[in-house]
Amino acid sequence: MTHPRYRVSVSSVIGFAGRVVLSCGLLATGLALGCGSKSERSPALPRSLFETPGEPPKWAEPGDATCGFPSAADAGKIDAAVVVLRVLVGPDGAPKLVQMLEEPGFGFGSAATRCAMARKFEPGSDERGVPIAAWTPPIRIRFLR
Amino acid sequence: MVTRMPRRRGHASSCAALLLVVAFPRTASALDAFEIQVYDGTANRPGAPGLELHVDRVLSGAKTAAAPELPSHHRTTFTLEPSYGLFDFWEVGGYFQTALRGDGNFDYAGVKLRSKFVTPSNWNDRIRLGVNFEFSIVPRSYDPDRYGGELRPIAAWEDEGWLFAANPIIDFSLAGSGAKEGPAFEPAFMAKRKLGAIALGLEYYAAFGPIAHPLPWSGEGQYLYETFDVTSSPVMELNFGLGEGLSSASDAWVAKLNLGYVWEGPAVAPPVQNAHPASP
Repeated sequence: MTHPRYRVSVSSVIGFAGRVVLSCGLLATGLALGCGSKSERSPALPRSLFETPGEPPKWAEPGDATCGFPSAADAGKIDAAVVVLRVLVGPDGAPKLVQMLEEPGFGFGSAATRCAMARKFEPGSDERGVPIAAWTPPIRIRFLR
Repeated sequence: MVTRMPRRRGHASSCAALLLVVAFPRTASALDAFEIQVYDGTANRPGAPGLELHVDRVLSGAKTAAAPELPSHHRTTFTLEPSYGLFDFWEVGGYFQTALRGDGNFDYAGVKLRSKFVTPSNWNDRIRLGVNFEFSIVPRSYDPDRYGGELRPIAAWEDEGWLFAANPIIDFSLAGSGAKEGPAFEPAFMAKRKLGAIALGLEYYAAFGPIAHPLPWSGEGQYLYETFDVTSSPVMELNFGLGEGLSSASDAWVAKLNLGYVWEGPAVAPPVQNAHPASP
């Protein structure tokens, strides 16, 4: 498909100026949206990532949060480590997703994830006590030997 | 927090860095989840606006991510892409990105601005060349470096039956750790077979990591999409693809849908040839 050539005329100059203004407007709008947004979510959606309106989920068996030691850490001669993570728990108490907050490497993150995903949780609940999918508060998982 | 014996500390640190990369590959070093497309060197005609909607869903993906990023499993992204043809060789556009996360919450996910330059439509019947410049501002949960951009060279070849395109993309961060690592190489390729009103094709996307120190295979993003296009309308675009991750750092299955429409630009009078004054 071919387009006819532009001829330099008053109307073409005005047309070009209009396009430049439109483009600058688009750029300015985009920059304003991107730079002006401090929040990483829409204000129309008040429920943030880790807020639970009722009770947050938690370990079904409180107490020991120690997990099996990762074999990959043997090369580093590591005796102890701590991993901090959060777990998205479904209404049925089953873990769905993990967000790693702190992990020292050496396979501890993967080991802690496996450990957390294998656990049973008490699901979070809304204001009426109905179980909902929600993120746990930060969970510290210890590795000791 | 780690307690360890004092020996072989340097070796251990290297192992830690490697394990961190392999175990929790950052989405930032992976592919752009909001823009799964290969540019084929075409552009809106002068004065013509266009609008595209990209809907991409991770059918099966990573269930773990290192903060501030979030796991991609069951995430659906919605991206609106307005565009406008300034000249036969120059198109500008933008991306307004949102995402429905795997946990059910809906996010604003950033904005991008782009400027695409291509060879004019009358330059060559079969070959098209171009380059796209992009600047992005993305929330940290989708790109920890927040500010970035891309330089996307475009090469395409098309005839009545086939379309091939290559985009050897140079992706760069303007802040954060990504800026220190330097630009990353993220090539994309497309091959389409036209079959009347539809086209079937393959699209390949890869993220090899920083050019200065590429990622190991297990840390790279590698995807192959089988695509289906409706090509019966010159102003409308419908592209559907199902992608499979080829490496352990890739999401296992991703579906993508691109819907686009380009309004016809203002009519331009053809050049006057052999004009004669009208006879009375």
